[in-house]
Amino acid sequence: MKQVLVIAERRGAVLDEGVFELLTAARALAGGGGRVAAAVLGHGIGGLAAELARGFDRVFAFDDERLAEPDGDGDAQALLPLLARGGFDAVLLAHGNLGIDLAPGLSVRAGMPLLADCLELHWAGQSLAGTRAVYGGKVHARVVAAAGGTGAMATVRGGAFAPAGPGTVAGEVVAAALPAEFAPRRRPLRTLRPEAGEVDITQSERLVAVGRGIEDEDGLQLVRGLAAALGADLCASRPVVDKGWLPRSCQVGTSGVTVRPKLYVAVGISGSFQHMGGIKGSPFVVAINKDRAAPIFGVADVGIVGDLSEVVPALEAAIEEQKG
Amino acid sequence: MDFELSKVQKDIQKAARKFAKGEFDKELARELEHKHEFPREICRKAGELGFLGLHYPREYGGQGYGCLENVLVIEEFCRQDSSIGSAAMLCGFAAETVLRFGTAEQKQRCLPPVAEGKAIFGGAITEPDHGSDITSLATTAVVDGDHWRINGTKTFISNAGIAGNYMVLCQTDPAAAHRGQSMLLVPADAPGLTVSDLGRKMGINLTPTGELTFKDVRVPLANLIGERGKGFYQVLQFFDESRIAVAAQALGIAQGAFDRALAHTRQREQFGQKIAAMQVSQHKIADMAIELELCRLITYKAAWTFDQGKPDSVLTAMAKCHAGRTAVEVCDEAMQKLGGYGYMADHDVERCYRDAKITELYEGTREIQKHTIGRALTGRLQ
Amino acid sequence: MDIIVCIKRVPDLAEAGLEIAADGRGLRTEDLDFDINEWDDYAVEAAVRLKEQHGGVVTAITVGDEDAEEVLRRALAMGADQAILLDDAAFAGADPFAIATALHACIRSLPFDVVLCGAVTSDGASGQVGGMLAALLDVPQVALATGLEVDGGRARVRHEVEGGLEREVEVALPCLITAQSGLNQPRYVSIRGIRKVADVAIAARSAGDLGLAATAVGEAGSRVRLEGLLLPPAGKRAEILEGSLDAAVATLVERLRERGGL
Repeated sequence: MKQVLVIAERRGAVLDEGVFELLTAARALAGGGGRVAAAVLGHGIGGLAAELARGFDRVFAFDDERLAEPDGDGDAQALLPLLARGGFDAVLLAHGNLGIDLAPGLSVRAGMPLLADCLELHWAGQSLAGTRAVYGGKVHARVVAAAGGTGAMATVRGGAFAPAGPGTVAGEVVAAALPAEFAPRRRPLRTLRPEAGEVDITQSERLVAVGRGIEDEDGLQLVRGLAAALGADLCASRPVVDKGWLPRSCQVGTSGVTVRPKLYVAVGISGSFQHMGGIKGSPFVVAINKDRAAPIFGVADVGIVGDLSEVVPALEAAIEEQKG
Repeated sequence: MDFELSKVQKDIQKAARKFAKGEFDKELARELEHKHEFPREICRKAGELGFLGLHYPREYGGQGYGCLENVLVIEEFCRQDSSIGSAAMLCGFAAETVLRFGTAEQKQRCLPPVAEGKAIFGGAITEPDHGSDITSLATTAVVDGDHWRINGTKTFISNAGIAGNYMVLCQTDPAAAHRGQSMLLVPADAPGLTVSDLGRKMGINLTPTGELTFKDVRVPLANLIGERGKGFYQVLQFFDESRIAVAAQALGIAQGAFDRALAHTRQREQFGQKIAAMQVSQHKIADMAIELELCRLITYKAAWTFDQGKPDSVLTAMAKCHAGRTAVEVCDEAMQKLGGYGYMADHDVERCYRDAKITELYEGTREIQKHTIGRALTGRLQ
Repeated sequence: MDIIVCIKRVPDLAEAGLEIAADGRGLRTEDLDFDINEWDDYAVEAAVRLKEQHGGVVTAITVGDEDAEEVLRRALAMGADQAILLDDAAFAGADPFAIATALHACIRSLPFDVVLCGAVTSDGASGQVGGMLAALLDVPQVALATGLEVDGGRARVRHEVEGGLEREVEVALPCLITAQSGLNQPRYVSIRGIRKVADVAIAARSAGDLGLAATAVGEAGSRVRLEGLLLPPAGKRAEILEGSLDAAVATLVERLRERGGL
């Protein structure tokens, strides 16, 4: 029986769906008789708090105009008294951009151990323990919070837990006040939205994704042909966007856009969690990669190991032939 | 004995590796090879960063390092890309003759632009009728007032047409055979000097190879490099240095082919298992690794010996001979490991294979190296 | 301007086959190449650019043994002015908090306007050290920076935030920034740079030098204990279509048709 707090992340006026994955993790950690609480920060977030209260036993709503934009530095100040009051055995955040911005500083101020980017969480005696991916995901590490009475924090990798369904808990919403000494040190100047691409890939049912494996822009042309044959839109992993071959709006991943297609064809994509974290729903995943050991084959439904410059045109031709 | 590279040498090796990885694009290499074009932009960047003349003194635009540091850079460059690496290694070819024998004025004029990657140098030794045997030359230079007047033809000249200056080995005293030869510094724009490209080669196609024809080409008397009548001996001394660089080129090409073969062997599966798990693959990989290690040891030792101020013609010849053979054999084995993939032009190993062979031919064929070694040894026995 | 950049030497994993060491708590390192952590390279470049724009001193710091010195020499060759190696057997086995503790103890005695860290490392991949160090130093921090300008005692930072967006924020100096890829394109190390720093002495500091008890750092000072490493479970694997290219492609088209993908 444990007390678990989830710090909800919001994207603009909506909750990040990751919070319902965290709810699953939190319930499992709380165990029967344990309670799960959520904290949500922002301005005008009554609706979000109510939504959370359907799944969480308690919701701490920090509603203040000074919290209008997520701010890892300022949010830590806001949350500190809640954590410092004690009583939480575990505090969970999503290991996304905000979690990376917020959790380390908050954990130090709250005097809590922090298990980062966990794939799995459990109790080892009274200590929070988990498994995390290290060395580019090629190795997993089992970690455990050092014994101590203050509870522990963890950031959780997107997709590691299945999202909890719509709740019927009718939890209590508590208006949480900002500490008197609250003084945000960051001044937000502006939020940059990615330049609108030709297509909004968040709406695409079929996506062909290109990764580092395409090597050059000629490779990109080949993949465009395949996408056209499939009637799919083109998206990419971070390295391709960093090279400037496709606009930022095409970047799928935890630091990019979240998509929910029905078909996902990954060409030359290694399958890092940062990329896979941007794919929701459960699409049929096809992987084409020259490296049989690439992690993408661990998540794909079907795959071909081979040279992209051979496989991609052959597949395009076969699809065209099929279409007649 | 100490087989460890110094911290600085390791830093140089790593810096060269990072630069080559970042800049030596294989698509570019293929395109340049197709167009038979020199990688000017890469050499300019390499020069700016100090990779090209690092064995020249600082007063002449260099970094004041030695032959071994130069070897480390050449090895890393050729390992990453056999064609771009070879072109970068060759772009200052024979400038060392100015460095070792030239006047301060000649060094000041010729070396900094080469070190900075802004100018290319060429060396003209071989003639249509005088290749390995240069004991007498048909290209002559005679004193004509305050100038040398040069006539003749030089062939198989690397960087022909793109070099700004050439070191030209001339017969200045026809009666004295190899004791009557001298090195002259000839600017590419000297009237009477014409260049014709010899066209495509098996490998190193990013560097042009051509023929220089001298028709009453006049250069000032002050363009004599080193001593009159000592040209032949200066060339031999130059080879003691340049052949180590060729050994490094061969070593790098071989290592690059090996890297690619090893990566393929680790990935490729046939008959339900990784080919790396097959003993025949492991033995081949082991054979290649042994050869590479031997090749590296002798090349580094030759460079180290040179840097100790004790250039050793026999050791240098051994290094070049062994490294050249290793490059050809390792590239052959690497291609064998890659099978059909290796044979395709889209795979680098095919280019490594073609680029490797020159290291057994230029700056003294394998046979000439053995001649040098054999004569020295049997001479000592007598 | 006084700029501090914290860096780490990590194994290059791109092409290496990984093996877990016999003690189950680290990797076998014999066959691995090591280099500066990619994100730390962005941090060094950002530090050197700030110095080039505003003048000042760049100090590079790493925690590690003698081998780790090479990343400090690299930072020096890129333009850092001085380097400190935090080297003590007591630092071994540190979690991110214990690393931040050691860095904090070193940095608190130095003047600084900006501290730069890589946003994450390619080995431990927790992305915690920067944020923890900022909290210990009690300075504002911005994580995942993709743009950085400093002017008039303030830093204007563009950084990656929720939902794949970027936000521009301003913080007062002194501050701590963690560098994300895209912040800059790190320069190559030049031979000139290597030559210039060949004889620069790198200061080594032990836990005692930093006024830290051995129990406050390393494994003893860690808040998270590493129990062991393991290879990831095989899990679900894709159906890999074997055979000739034509056969594999034909089967794939069939699978796509079955799933309504065509």
